[in-house]
Amino acid sequence: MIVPLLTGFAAALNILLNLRLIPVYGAIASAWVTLATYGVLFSVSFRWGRRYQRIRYPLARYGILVAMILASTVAVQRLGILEPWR
Amino acid sequence: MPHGIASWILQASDRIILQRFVPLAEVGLYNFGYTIGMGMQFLVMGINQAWSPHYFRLMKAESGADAKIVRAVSVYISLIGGICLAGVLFAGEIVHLLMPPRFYGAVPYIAPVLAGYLFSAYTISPARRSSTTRRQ
Repeated sequence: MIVPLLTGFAAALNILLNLRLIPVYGAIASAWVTLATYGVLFSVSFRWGRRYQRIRYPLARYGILVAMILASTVAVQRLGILEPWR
Repeated sequence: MPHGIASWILQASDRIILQRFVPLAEVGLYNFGYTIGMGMQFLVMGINQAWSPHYFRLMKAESGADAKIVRAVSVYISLIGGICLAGVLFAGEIVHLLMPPRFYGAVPYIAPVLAGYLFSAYTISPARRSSTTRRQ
């Protein structure tokens, strides 16, 4: 029962952030809200799921990969790498 | 059923809201970028369909199951992460190769959506893991 509740919370957060940010920043805000919403859903699910886990995963390694992807996502937007494609 | 409805709202609400505030042409570009960004979801769904029987069999196994699960999850995370990273870095090139210039405006939307669906792909494992453990 918890999974639909978490997804519902993420959906509500998605709607609220979109209503707040799209009028200010335009359509790109919606793409970042998608990232933020799924990030929050993952964080909450992960914290909740860990209470029942007995397996120890190499979380630090996974974290490095995720950090690289997030840094790349911000970098391609902020450093003008996408300019030739606009 | 409630999970399906919440998932649909989560996936579709942005475009419904966008139509109120953004020109329709921009919504179209966003929709195209979003579709490219969530393309990884099809691979994730396929992997999870294939992985589930092995996972439940491993859960019943007495010894050595934990190491096998960790190895499989690590491969999954690396594979999905690698595809996502490549998509984030080369979104412009991919659209440039596949689509005419009028679609280039969709490129900025791809990386954030793709990274969002990375989290979606990673959410599946702890959710399934915890629900299974609870039933034991």
